[in-house]
Amino acid sequence: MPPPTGPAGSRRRAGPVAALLAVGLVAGIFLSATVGSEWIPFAAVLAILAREVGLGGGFAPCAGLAVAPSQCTVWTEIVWDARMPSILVAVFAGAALALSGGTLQGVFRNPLADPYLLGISSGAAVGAAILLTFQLAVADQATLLPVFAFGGALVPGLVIYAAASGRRRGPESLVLTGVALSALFSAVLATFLFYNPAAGLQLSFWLLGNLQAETWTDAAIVAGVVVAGGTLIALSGRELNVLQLGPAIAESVGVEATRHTRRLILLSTVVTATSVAFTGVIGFVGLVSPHVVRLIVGPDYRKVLPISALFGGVFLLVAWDLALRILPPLALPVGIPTSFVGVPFFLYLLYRRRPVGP
Amino acid sequence: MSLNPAPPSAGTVSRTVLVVAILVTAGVAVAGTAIAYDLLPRHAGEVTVVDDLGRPVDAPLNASRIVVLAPSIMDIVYRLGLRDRVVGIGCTVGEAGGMENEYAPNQTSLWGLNDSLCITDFPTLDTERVATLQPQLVLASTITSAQQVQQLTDTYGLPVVILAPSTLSGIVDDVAIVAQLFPVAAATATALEESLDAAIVNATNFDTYLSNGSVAIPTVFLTYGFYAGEYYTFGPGTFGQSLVDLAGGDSLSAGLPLAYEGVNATAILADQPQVILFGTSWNDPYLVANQTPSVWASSAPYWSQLNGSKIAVDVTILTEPDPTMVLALPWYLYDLHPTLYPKPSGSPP
Amino acid sequence: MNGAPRADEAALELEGVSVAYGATWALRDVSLRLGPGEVVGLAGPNGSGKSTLLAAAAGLLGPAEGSVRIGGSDLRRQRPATRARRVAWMPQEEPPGDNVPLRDYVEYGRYAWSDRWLPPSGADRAATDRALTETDLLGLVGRGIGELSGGERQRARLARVLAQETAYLLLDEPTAYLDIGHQLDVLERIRSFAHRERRGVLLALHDLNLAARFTDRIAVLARGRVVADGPPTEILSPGLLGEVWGIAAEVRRDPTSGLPYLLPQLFERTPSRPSAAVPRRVHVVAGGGSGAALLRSLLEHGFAASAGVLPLFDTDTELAHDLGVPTAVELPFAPIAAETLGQLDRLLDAAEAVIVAPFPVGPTNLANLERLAAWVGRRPTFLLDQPAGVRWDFTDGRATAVRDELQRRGAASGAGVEAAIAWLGRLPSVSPPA
Repeated sequence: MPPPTGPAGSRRRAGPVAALLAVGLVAGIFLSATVGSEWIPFAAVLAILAREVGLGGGFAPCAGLAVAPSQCTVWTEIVWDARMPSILVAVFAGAALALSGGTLQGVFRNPLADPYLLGISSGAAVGAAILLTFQLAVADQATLLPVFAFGGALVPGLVIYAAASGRRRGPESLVLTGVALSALFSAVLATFLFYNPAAGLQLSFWLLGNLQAETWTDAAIVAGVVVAGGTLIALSGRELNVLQLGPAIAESVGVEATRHTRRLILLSTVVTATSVAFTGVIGFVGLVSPHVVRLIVGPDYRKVLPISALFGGVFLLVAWDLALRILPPLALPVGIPTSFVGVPFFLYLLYRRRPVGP
Repeated sequence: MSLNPAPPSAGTVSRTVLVVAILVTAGVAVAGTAIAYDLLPRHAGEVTVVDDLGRPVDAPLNASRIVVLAPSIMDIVYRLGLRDRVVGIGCTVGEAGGMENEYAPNQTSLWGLNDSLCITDFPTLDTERVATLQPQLVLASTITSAQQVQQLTDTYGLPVVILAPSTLSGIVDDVAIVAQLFPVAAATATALEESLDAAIVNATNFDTYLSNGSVAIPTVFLTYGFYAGEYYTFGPGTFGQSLVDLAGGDSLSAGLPLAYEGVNATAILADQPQVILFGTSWNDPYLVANQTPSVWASSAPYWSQLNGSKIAVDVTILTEPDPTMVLALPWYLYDLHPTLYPKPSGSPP
Repeated sequence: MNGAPRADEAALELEGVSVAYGATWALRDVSLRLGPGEVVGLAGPNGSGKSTLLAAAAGLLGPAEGSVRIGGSDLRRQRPATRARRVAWMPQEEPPGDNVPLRDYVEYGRYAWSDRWLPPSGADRAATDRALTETDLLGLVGRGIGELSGGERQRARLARVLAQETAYLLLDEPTAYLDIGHQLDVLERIRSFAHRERRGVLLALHDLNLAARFTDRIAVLARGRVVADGPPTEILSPGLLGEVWGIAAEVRRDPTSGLPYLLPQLFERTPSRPSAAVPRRVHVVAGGGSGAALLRSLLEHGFAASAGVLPLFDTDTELAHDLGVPTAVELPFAPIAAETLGQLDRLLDAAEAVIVAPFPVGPTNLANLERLAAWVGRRPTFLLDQPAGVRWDFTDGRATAVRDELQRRGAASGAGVEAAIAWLGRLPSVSPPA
């Protein structure tokens, strides 16, 4: 039973909160460009960003810093070609997870729903494991890993989509189908790991979330899918609100429950699968972000969805920065800081809520 | 007059289509730009080599700044006289500091390594550090993940040659690849290849003794550590196993299901292998750390009751597939068949 | 206001509708017509198909046979958004949901009228305001629905349905979970709204008295079929109640409104064990409610009873009438006429024992006691003690004197109905049938 989520008066906060998150996101992107294993002067970072973004062609980023031009070129490559794509993937993947989490929590009317509820993460892990265990196409492994992961992620998603299209089943049976598929895929994964333990090491990093070594292509794909899919999802905020009353009342008010449910599940699956394909499995962002946002702006999905996307982007970006800063020069799997921050926060949310009044 | 506005008509359908079309077009435009950006040619090379993963790599000849990401590759680089060109080596982050976890003390002193050369490479490679060093060539093993290799290649434009031999003769092929990249060391490389081939052939010729029936094949147990009543051994598919095979031994571990496995000590006691090769290492965190012969003697299960000849081998050699490993073959032959083979010169590896 | 004549003044008609859940028929060949401005109550036992009928009438269930039409167009063939502009539905239960602001919640009802891509328009806000006014919730607009009381929450649900501004409203148990005050409030609002705005309302109710009071017509469902359909005064009868609900009840008429109300029978009139012997008859002298417990107890123990002389409109008289107990009746506050005393004599003659309840005695009913003096020798008599400290003799002591005389002449006495029953059991000639 969902907890009461904030007083009705919190609706006025939505605008300022969204603005704050947007500003924080942009600032975070710039600041994150300074985070990495190599120390690069802050001024140089900003100058590089300004030049690459096209703001100042005449900037000589390393002027006055007494470094060789080749060193400056390397710094540009590091900041713009290595760090920036990872940062952008973090932002868009965080948005994707938060958006999917909020959507699935609404579609299934279950506060514990997260983007992986339908077995997407296990499916993606199996897809990746197939590639790594059997050492297929080793030379192109880097390019193929997201493809295999995405394909694997779609399998449970499509099964659930088909199930949702069939005779009217309640959300409970869809969730149970997802749980069953997750268990099945986990067993398949365990079999693969037993067969080739060496692949297990590579896979384990992927299972904890890996934002390193993202390319501009990766960032473009993630950004494109998340913006397109996310926009379509966020535009269904009104329908999602009405669906909270149950499919029967929703239909009586004019919302075609089955059609919208299917569509939202499909969009969430695609958006999450794309994100997981490029980042591995990152937990808690999708579960916690919508709850935090609901506490601040209220339960209206027209606001919760877009603001969750912003929050998720900021959350994952901060987690990524932490991952780079905790044990330099190692980059921790980003799922570690999200869990360490997310779990206590989630427990706090769970136990602080006031019991529902009469 | 009706107070309700006209209900929404079919115009919403076409509006949805329009919105989706705009989003898709924008997405394709952005993606296309980014992909094109990624595909810009970064550098031209002077020679194209095919590495152990089958990747064709364009690389400069006689690069003056190289990064070496595995001790086994360092062995080749050193033997070819290219040590001075090394500007960075791969290190593992651990309690004892960067380099000590990956390089044995004798390696460190022999190759003249120090911590300033360290680039963290496990669990993930610090690609930013590699890029900052501005090397002209990176020699890596399969420990480095495919994505990071791609980042070195595509983002930083560095040629990365991956050396990952799976057989002893593969080690010889790796020497040949490095020789292709450094014509200045061609002569040294040829000599090295010849001695490696000779060692392998010498060992392979042992088959003639077998067919004669003139020699007994001793049972050999190869162990690199012990813990909780079990001995750890190298199973099928490992270099250790193939070394024992090639040296004419009947390895007790040949039939095990997995590559690195624990065997119950009482079973070994029952089998009483004729030759026991036990591993010594300096502090490798990935093996069970039973380092010195005295530690073995005092703590290994049933050690005094094992009657076979016990010979210490440096486990580093068994785990790093490099020329040193191949050149240790004559010693294995001698250890297993002291009556048949001359004792090699120099100190045992 | 929205009182202007609507384009679709057509009726909502169910024709021959049959709905099945799997292998069971929930509705069988149901035909019902709901016209604009009509309030029709839907009554029937649990499981008779009321909720199914309402859902089918809303176009939410596809009937296996028959059709649901408004003005000739089939509801099932329309898209949900079109349907939602013609029919609104309020089910019995609703998931609790989030703590949505009240205004937003009521505005959900406007979904079908507003543009999907744009925020709700001025017309939508006006409709929401009208709905909130209609349900007297305007003052609570700042709250979330999770903060409302049960009654307020139910009114909010009603407001949402009203905001849909449909010609027809289908309400399933709109008074569920409400206390009597709120039940009356909600039903009154619904009725006045329907009549004032010319909307057709079909509402399922369990309480037949409320249905009789607030509906223009009642349709009664039993096992999926319509067994009665008409105004409450014609529909409600003991026969129908017994046939459909299996209860024994009296149907009375409320003198102020002329509407029927029902009084269920509370206990068995006849003993559970059949007996060949005729039940012994005990005569009860009572008044002012003093004889109620005694009369009931006698009948429960298997005795027959008679009563008198009781004034008309006395509660004991009403009860005796309900119980079918022969009663000698006199006008209230009038002295007992000779003819009535004759009736009393006949009743006493037919009885085998007499029990006198502790009734307040005044000049007009003193004759009851005085008459007993003639019978105390011929019939065993038991006097129930008057409650202590309460004045019962309003005859300046004459009643007390008569009472004392009765006791002197052999009447027994005791406190409490059980004592009287026990006394009856000890009488040699009077005993309950075996």
